[in-house]
Amino acid sequence: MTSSTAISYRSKDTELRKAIRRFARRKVAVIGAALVLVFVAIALAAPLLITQDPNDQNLAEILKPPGKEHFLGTDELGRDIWSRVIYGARVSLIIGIASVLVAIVVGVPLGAIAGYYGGWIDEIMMRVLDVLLAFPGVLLTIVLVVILGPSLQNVIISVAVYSVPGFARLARGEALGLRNAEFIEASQALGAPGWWVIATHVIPNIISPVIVMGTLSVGNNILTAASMGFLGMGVPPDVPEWGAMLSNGRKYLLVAPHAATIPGLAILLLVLGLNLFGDGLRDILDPKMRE
Amino acid sequence: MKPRARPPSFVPPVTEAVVTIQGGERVLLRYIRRRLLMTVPILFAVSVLVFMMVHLMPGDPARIIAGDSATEEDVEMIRKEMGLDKPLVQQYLTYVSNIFKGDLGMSMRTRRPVAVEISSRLPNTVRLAAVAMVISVIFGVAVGVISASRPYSLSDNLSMVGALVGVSMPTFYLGLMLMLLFSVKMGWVPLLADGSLKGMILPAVTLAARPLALLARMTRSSMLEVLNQDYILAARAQGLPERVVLYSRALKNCMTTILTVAGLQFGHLLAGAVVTEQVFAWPGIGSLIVVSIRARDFPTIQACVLLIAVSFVLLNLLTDILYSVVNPRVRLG
Repeated sequence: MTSSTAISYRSKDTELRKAIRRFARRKVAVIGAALVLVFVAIALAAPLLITQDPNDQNLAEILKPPGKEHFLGTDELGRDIWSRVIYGARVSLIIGIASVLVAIVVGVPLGAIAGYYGGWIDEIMMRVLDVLLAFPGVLLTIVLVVILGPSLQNVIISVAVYSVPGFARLARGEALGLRNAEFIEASQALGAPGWWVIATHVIPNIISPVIVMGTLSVGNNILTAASMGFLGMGVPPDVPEWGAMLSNGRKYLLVAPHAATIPGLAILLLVLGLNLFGDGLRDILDPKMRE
Repeated sequence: MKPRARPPSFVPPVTEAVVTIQGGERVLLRYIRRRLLMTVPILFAVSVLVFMMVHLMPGDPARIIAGDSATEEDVEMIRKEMGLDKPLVQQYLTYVSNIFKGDLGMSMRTRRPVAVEISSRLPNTVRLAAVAMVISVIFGVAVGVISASRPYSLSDNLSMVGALVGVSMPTFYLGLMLMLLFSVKMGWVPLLADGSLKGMILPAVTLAARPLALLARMTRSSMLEVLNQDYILAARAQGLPERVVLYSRALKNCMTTILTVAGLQFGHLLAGAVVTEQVFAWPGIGSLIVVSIRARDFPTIQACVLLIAVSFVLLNLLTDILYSVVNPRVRLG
């Protein structure tokens, strides 16, 4: 509680700039952020980058290795892999980001309410989450997609449900810690109702860990969705999804290894970028991590 | 060098645990009982959810089970045969009592009892998961300890980047790459599972990669925390060799955390096996789920999902109980 805190109170800008400087010092985190930015840019500019329609089939040109005409070769139906990988970035990022946003919107308020009120509300909510957590890893997503049917929207919902418990537990823990903070008590003393305190004081104060977890969850959810695609339970077959592309390509592993390896590499790079970026964010946002 | 008398081992202070010394056994039993009681409603809810799977799907359950090509008579027959015309509660009670009798229903795909299908495949999955677990614990802990012993060194940075790649790597992609390298290019191991020990190496390594990476990261951070404690300083001041400080003093105190993570990961391995088994055509529960989903064989899907979920809940229970036995602080919570 010395000079550094005093400086940070002077203006918000220096605090932000300091955070960015701290982030920039970690080279791997910057590499991660760059990787993520590249993929986001690819996803946004997809229509400009493709060389042909990602679903155009050309049976005369099947399983061509990477070359002049097809930058990354063609798949078993003669579709251009470059164009499909580009559109695949869109699909994966949409699934990853949308599912995390849904999970945050549902999980964080639930967890904050449970942690803030405690008692039986807390008890019931945590037991409900325990039931969701009883289906490990990809299993819950499989069960939900079987029930809901395979579509992009249902994959997003299924992956979101799978990550709700994580956010709810995080928010609950943080809210529990804030419950007796002075500014919360002050607000209560002024007669603010519980929902108001939660919405204006509890949730804004747990945003940083939620952002960190959110970034890491985008990567994790992309992996889960890709696994679903690989198992043939994800998005419909005409959608260029990386996991499904890899699954189709692996039958030709011996004659055309590029058809399976390129989509896999795309998943790895994007998820690695998100994890590096998320780790870097944690270091600058989580005061416990600062040395 | 003159052999030195071994300094007395330093016992870390356990202030919180002092409370439980008297009647510690009773507190432990009470904790175990409470934890067991908490598990019952979860198992109940899990069974209801799995039972409801077919009923939650839009449409007539009998028609869903019968499939698209079934005639009206087939649908009626299935409705009668599976008791789908009875009230839901009664259906559920029959379902659960049949499970306790070891009757998991008939597979729609093979027309054989699901219990038979599962029992022929379960040992394969358990074997694969167990070997993967051993690999990930041994190498994960070793990498974590070595990293923590020289934090921010080249070897530490390399291992942690490696661990991050392990966490970010899709299981099926890793499996495929290992296959391409070691089976196709080098020809060291068979391409697909053939029942031999050699055929198990790649699937086990593939399945182990993620928990190994997680354990390495966990062990490193938990070791770094412990290495900052006063009793480590005391151990070093006593002149203990670094090897003893690391493995006997520090690692011992990380073991509870490591065991908890490992216990949790074992359950995840059962689910992760779904993908790994698919890659290597490993004849286990995971590939049974995938085949059954493609064939819309609901009795088998339900049985497999229930089996994995129940094992996962019970493994968590076991981990928690073991944890409370070695770490008295937990029991008071």
